[in-house]
Amino acid sequence: MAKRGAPAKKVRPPVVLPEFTGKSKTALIAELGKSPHGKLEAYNGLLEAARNEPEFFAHLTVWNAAKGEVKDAKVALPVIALATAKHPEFIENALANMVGLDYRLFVRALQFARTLKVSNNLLRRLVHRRLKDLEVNQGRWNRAAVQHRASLHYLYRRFHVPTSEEVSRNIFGEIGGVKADPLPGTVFHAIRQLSVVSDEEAAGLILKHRLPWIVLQGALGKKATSKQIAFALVKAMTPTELIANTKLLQTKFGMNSDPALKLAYSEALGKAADSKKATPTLKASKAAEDVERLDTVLAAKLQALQEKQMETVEVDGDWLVLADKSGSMSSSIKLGIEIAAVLSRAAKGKVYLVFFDNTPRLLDVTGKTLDEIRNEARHITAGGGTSIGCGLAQILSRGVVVEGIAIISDGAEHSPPYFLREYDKAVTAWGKDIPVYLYHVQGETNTLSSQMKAAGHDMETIEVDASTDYYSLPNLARTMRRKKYSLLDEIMALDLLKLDEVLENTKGMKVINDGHVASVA
Amino acid sequence: MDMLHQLRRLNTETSTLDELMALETFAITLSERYTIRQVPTPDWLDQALKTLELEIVAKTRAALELKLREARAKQANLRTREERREMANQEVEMLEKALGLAKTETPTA
Repeated sequence: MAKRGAPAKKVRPPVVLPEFTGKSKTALIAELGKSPHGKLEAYNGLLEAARNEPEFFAHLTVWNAAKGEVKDAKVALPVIALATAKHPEFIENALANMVGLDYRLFVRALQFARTLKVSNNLLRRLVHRRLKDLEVNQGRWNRAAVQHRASLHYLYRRFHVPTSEEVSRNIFGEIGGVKADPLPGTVFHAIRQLSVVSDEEAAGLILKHRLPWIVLQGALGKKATSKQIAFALVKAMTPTELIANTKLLQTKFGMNSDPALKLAYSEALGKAADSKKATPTLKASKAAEDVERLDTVLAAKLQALQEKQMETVEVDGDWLVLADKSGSMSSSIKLGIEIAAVLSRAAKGKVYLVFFDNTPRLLDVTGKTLDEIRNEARHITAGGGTSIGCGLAQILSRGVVVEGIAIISDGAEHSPPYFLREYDKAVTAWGKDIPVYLYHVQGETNTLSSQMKAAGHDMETIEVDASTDYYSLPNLARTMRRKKYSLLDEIMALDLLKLDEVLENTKGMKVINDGHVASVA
Repeated sequence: MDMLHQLRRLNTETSTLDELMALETFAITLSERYTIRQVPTPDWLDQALKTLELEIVAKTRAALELKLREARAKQANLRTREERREMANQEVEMLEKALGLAKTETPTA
């Protein structure tokens, strides 16, 4: 029973991933950008498909590990592959991809694998090998133990991995059943001390041992909001954590009125922009929106970081983005701007953004930032009828040629010119098929998809709803290609992984027995 | 944007220390040219020079303060047990004094 006065709990609609058919491979790839928010069983629908196309699924697993943004998919795909694979090469690839997960996600993958009845002995041998491989390098083991103590505790205990005295002391806090504290001078001892030493000493320990933010949140206790150690916390944060905690630094630590702290943040942002690990999401831009009211300097820096992150995505050709601005399509306007911004940074050619109801409003957004496009579109509001084709008709009349079209709409059309007719004209005029991607938002009945299908045109549909991670739009854009099958070619060209490549310190340690079948799933 | 343009539309908030230093160098050189040519220095240039001076001082101070915090943190970690005990004793003494609980020496006959 909810407490009095407590807001009603938001119930997310159940996530249903689409059926995996040969025709919708690229649609599925794009939909891997959708997050089921922890419910890995949402991916069980892929079991049949993985069984039918094991080779593609194996390569897809590798591709998603490298390019995907959604953690749930990175956890689920190798497990699905493992549960269905028969060929030793595909089994090993699945295991190697599981090992590539951080320890927390690795535990989730193992637990998910058990639900799919993957052989417990196989999982045990995998865990043994991974932990033994880690133990070879003391520094690596320490860092993993600091950041993933709970996960390592689970792995050692659940899979009965033999432990050394050091492992017992620092993971289990005991040796042979007798309580054993971390040794002084070690990073584990330093973490214990954080809540009891002075703020200055705590800051010194954080800097000395390069303790990560994820550990500090719990270990610091009340000091977690101390202004005296704020600068050390900024140094401890990863680029993602820095962006995610911008508001906290503003409000709890008074960053705006502390020039030294602001400088530390600014320097850390600069390092984040240069980081090769920059993941193209829109989180930096979202953080900038929160910050803008408080500090224009930091907002500008966050926007710059966003733009830098976008540079890691590349898409070929000139693109047309058709964004539905008819009645009740305000979400489509926002999404249209964001997709256009992603493409304007990623596309090597020109990008045209057309807002349409019954008539088109064309903007050339080539090379423009998200902020600039928002500014240009600031007076665009939802209202009016719907003619998806009018935008395409407009660029045709201007003699503009594009290599790809992205439509953001519910797919319902009421007025001419209709999209299918204009598309046929474009194909004739330009002498080529043009890939079309429909970012389908909720609204009226989607007639566009069935019309395009009936006419024999291949249009990829990407469902956008409450469970879509808007911050992964740049990675969805990555899946857009001007040549129909180039993404599939790219996926199939990736090499499958081997355990000896990812666990180099334990080469030759067997995980897969001869004649092994991964599971009975 | 060229240096003159940047100087005319000076926005110190979004500039780094390096950029401010470069602008200041340019502004000083420009001001000197006006003097050599016996042409009055424009008001906007005088104002820019003052603004740059203040901002560079502020940013430099912030950088030094950040370094000071790091140095203090390192220093705190290097204290010996005796030094920590001494600091704790001093803190107790100060608090007792504030509360009027400080022990006073009684004179012997």
